[in-house]
Amino acid sequence: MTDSRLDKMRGELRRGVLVLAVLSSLKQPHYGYSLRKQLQDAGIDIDEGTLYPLVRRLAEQGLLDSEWQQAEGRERRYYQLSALGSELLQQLTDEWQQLNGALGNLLEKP
Amino acid sequence: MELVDRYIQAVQRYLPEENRADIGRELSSHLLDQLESQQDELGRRLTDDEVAATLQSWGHPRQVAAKYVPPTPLVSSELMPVYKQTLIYVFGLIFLLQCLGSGMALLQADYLKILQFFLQLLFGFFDTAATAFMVVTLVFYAYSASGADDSWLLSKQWRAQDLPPVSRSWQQMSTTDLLTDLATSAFLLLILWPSLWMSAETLASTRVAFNPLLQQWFPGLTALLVTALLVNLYWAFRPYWTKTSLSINAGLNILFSISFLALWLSSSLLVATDNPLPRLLTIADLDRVARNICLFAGLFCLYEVGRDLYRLRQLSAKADA
Repeated sequence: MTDSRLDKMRGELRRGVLVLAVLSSLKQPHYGYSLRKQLQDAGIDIDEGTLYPLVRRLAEQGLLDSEWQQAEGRERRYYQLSALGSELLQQLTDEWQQLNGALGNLLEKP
Repeated sequence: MELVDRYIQAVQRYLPEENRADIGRELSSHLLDQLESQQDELGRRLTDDEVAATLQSWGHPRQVAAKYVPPTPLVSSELMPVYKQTLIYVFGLIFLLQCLGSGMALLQADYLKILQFFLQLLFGFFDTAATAFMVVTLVFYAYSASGADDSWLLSKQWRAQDLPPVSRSWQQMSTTDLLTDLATSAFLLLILWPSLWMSAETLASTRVAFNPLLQQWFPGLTALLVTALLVNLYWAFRPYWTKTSLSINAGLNILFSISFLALWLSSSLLVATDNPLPRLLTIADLDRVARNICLFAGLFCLYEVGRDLYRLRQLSAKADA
């Protein structure tokens, strides 16, 4: 398989679970760059051009609350999971665990 | 940080007015955080080249803006198959109308100018097709943007039980055949009734007309053509050959072949008007060409009758088996 095709499929695979990763990370408040660092530290490397617009879209859908705060001499927008977001995260987590289990069985088959 | 400001302003240029300030503010915060982190790692201030390299890694301002506010496609991917089919039908009809218009212009010229005919046909077609393309695209855009109910357009109310049993590959009607039949019926109707679409001035300047003795056939022919047009329009939404559709098609083709062969056998189809014909062209020549076209059309319809009857037999044999 060519590198470009692998990159494309990897991107498609990751895109679906990215929402779950972001929602899960935002149980604690984070501003954009700190969220990216947290995801990176957890092994999920996501470019800025994808992460920041995604966070904004989730906030527009009411899944995240946001607030501008002054910190270290600069303003930053902090995001945190809203009540609606928490509810959705729980449902998505259940879905993910079910899917992960089923997929694990399939992948283990010789 | 002048470069950062310039970059943010460039991104804002591609954003809708109502989002500019907010996204710009947020983008500035993200960028400054990233640059500050890089400075902390290096233990010194970043050079302009290093700042430029970071901005470069974010991508072109237009791309960044598109990620924040993705552009709305003119036609949604769901409507695209219907949009493409509409364009094919519209272009086919325009081509036939253009043939008719260019043909009339050829007959009205003082000399027979074949090259002029083809150029007029070509440029006339592209000119009208470009306008039609714009109009159809705008209609679909307005429909997509309005969020109107598109279930009828996308056949969302379909039921698996309504799908006809298709056991042979020919049972799927081809779009080209449907388009040709639709366009031919419309084309013949326009030829039969020029007063409906030609100005009185153009009508008065025509150099050939139908033999007045044939006028009595027109109501019958019109009814046949309108029926064929409506039936083909219905089939455009249910494009399958079934026993019923084959029987209807065979019936229509029998009537068409009788009509065309009767026209071929008539004493004369066309007569000259008071306006002289182009040089090198006589009414006898034109009449012979028109009658030969009728003969060919009549024989072709007979072939289609034979084909439909053979297919009907195939379907009946399968049902009995």
